[in-house]
Amino acid sequence: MWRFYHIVKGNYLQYARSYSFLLTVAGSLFIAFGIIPSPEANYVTMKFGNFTGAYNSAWIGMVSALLASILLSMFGYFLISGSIKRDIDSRIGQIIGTTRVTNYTYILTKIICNFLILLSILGIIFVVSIILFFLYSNGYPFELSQFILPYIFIAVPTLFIVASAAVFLEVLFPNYRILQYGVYLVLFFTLLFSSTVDESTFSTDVLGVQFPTQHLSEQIAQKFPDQNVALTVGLVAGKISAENKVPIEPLSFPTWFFISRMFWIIFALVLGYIASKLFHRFDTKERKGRSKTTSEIPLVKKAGFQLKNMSHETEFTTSLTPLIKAEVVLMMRKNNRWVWALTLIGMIAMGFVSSTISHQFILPIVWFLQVAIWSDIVSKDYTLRTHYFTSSSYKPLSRLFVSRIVAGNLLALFIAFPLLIKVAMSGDFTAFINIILGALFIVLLAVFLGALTQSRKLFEVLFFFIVYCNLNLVAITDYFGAVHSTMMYSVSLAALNLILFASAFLLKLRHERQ
Amino acid sequence: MQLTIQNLTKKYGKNKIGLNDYSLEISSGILGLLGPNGAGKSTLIKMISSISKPSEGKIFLNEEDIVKSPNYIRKQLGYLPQDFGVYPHLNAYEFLSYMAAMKGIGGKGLQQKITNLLEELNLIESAKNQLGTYSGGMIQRVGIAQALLNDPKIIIFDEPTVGLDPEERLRFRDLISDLATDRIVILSSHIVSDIESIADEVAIMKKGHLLAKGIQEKIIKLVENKVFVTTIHKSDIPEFKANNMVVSSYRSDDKFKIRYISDSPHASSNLAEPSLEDAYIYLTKS
Repeated sequence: MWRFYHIVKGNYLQYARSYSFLLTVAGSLFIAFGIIPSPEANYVTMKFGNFTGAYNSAWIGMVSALLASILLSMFGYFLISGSIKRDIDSRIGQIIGTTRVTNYTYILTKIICNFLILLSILGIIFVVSIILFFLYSNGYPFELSQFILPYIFIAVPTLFIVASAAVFLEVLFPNYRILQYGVYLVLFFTLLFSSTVDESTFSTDVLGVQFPTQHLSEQIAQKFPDQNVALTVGLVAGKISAENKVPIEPLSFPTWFFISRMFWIIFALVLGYIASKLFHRFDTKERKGRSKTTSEIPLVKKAGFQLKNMSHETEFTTSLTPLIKAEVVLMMRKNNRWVWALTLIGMIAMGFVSSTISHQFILPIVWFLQVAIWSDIVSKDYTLRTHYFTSSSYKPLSRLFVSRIVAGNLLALFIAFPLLIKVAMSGDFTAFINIILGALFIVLLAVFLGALTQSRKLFEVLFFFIVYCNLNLVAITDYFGAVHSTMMYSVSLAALNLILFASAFLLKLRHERQ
Repeated sequence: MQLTIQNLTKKYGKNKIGLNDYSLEISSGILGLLGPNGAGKSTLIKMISSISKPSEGKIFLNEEDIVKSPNYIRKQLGYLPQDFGVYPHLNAYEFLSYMAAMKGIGGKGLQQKITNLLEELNLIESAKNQLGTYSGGMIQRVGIAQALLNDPKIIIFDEPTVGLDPEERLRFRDLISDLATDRIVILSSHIVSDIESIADEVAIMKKGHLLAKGIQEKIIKLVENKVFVTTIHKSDIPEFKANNMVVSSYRSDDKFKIRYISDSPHASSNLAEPSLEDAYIYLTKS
């Protein structure tokens, strides 16, 4: 137990002391303030028809717990995934593999550590929700249990399941990050939308949100029986009048709900157990197909090391072309073949379906498929420990840095090529420009966030969030002009790109000077 | 070629000093850098190779201030870091082409140059395999190849023989000697014998300071008439080690042959021929 505690502590501290964690804390604060809008705000995060709750303890406690459960199960996954990969990259895994730590202990420590990271974020949201209660409640009494109970019954079990699922998928699909993400997203949305509130089938509600939302809905329906009380969750624009803010009664969680949440915790532990049986224990080369590679690697027959045989005339060149070509090769190799196959399908589809559908739905998806390529466009030097080579290369900032942006952009444009041709042929010049600016934006965003955090995580989380909003046609996240078609919008996008480039460049310059 | 380091200091935060008021002049030839962990060897190497900047002091290469103009040295630098990685999805050809592009090397002869390097470093038959499948020794040879790609005038090898087999290690020493005829080669290693056999000059460092620098004979002279050999029983070793500066010990039957440094030798000790290792131990443990 003592050993287990120290492994978990070590893992957690490793993350908690990183710069990424600071950003995570900042993001958590942002989310916490966002999910409980001020009474004067022009948006709501949860409403039932035209009604919402008055800011008493029961409403703020319940809504913050529900939204934290949904948001953290979606974005939190991206934050914590890759914990085993980090041990492989840092070579700690090889040491762990030779210790007496069992597979199940190791997997469990990873699950617990992931859980603690998510719990830290939840803790921040919890504290902020109480602070916001005192700011917004307008005389309602403070009841601590109305905050604690929803968090314990709804959010905490959900986070444990997410923590376990992240480890399970990483074990199941090692080296296939996109596949891990894809499977998780499919599962997440399937479970979110297909779960029921029927007591006999309670176990399908993984997130534990259906029963509490039904309770809220029923209360409002009782007071306004003739009104539509359909649930809407998200950033919903519009203000709700004071008379439509209903004081919600506290929910007493029934025993079956408690059992249901316990069931999911046990399921998460079982998932961890299955993962421990499938775990590669850091023998990753074996799984890559050792027989193929070792047969091709010859034994050392001779060691020449003769200087006279090594020399050959070369030329000094400052051309960026070889660097861009090399970067493109590096990027192309990063993705698995099946990702390219899906990308190709998407590209072909863009040639056949309408420009609007291609622009609004297919393009953001096929670009998102390249998330693994762009997310470490800057940080790969640190994760792969090639930074000594890149830092001591000739003019790294004006050559290598620029080449990476150009290569990333070329790739984005290549993927968008069928759509670009289509909109060009239809004479839609604004859409043509916006797609090019969008390609530049997504690469520059990856470069900027990579330079800022030296990690790929923040970009991946943000990119996913942006794509999710794109598919829901949220106008503010339209970085490639799918829902805007004015020239003024193109100018704004260009300005945004310029700011991103300048910020990323200054960050890299600062790194170089330090 | 002349590399001049003037009063170089590297501070990490307020209190931690990686290198303290360090000055050195290096001409063509091999300079061996010796020092225990934390001596500041890697800190010095990173500053010479323009990866990090000094807190104080200057570095000149042929009278050009490379702290202000890092690209001057980058253009003619070959650097093999101690702990480096590679891009696992590239093969050796692609990786070296990429490195060449980063260094600004091109032209029609580039592919031939890469082929020559791969052949001489015994990587040609696996050159089409992805680097992720290479062994540690093979990666080390890829690292050596990238360091020599641009026909560098100043070469820095940080622990270069790690992962090489004994035969490769000997041949690599010869290669370094060949390189040093008209270049500056800085060789950092924990293995004194690697440096002893090839370095023209040796610099011994400890806790960010330069303890001694010069030709090997001059450094070895510091322990002249101070190195002795004696034979003692196994049970006496702990006490002997506690009171003497022991360089090495070899088992001989049930006794141990001890090589140690002292101004006042024990009875039955024989004076020994001093070596670079003796001088290194003497300077760093004093």
